[in-house]
Amino acid sequence: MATKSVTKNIDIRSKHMGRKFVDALENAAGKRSQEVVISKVVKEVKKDQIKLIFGDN
Amino acid sequence: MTGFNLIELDDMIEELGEDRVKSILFNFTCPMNKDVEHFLKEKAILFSTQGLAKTHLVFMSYKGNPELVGYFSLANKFIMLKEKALSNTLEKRVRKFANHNRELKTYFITAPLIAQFGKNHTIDRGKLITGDELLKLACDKIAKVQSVIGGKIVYLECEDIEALIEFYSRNGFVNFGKRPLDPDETNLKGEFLVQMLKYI
Repeated sequence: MATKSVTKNIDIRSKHMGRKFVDALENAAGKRSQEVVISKVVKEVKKDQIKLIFGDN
Repeated sequence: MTGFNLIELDDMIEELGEDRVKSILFNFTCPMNKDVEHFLKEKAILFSTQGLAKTHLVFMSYKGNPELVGYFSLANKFIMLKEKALSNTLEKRVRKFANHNRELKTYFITAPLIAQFGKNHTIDRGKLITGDELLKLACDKIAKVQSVIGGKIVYLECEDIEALIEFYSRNGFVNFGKRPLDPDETNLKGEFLVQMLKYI
């Protein structure tokens, strides 16, 4: 991971990269990845609950 | 507080104030990748304000306190594919994934970027959440957004480290290219980053 990735664009111009990219797209679409089960309950915290969590009430 | 609690950085700043949030983020360490740590401490708030990337923080209760266990940052990007980079056969194959702009002779694929992603090693040496879990939280968030606005692809750029590539690969990512590092990207290993995409 790199901070600069945010400001970089991906612009594919060569035939070699074009083929590699399309192959990757199709492979990814058909790829089976491992099943990840999250070990804990996941909660999306609403804005008005944040102060409660951090004891700022 | 039970389980993993996902909090948007913007919401946290609004509710607690920037100084308080900075003090919470200051507790984050990532010895394996200093850029991941630097981003959260120095760039995440600025990038979020500018709308370049939004950061999502994962907290859980540890010894009675809410502790930051990891984070991920997402950016809205697209991938450009010039017509000249494609044979007729490849053009046919890419059409089901991409929008075509005739004037620009370019195919566009909307693809969010997982810009940063890391576990907090300050708390219990990063053992409170697994990398697989954190990556799933990031991909689930993207899937949720894409279910509303469309899109099927997510991508990232990672260091050319075998264990990292194996990690992303077993989580459904496929290598599609390389980006050479800029001279000022000195806190990353190697000479390029490996670009990987996943079909959500």
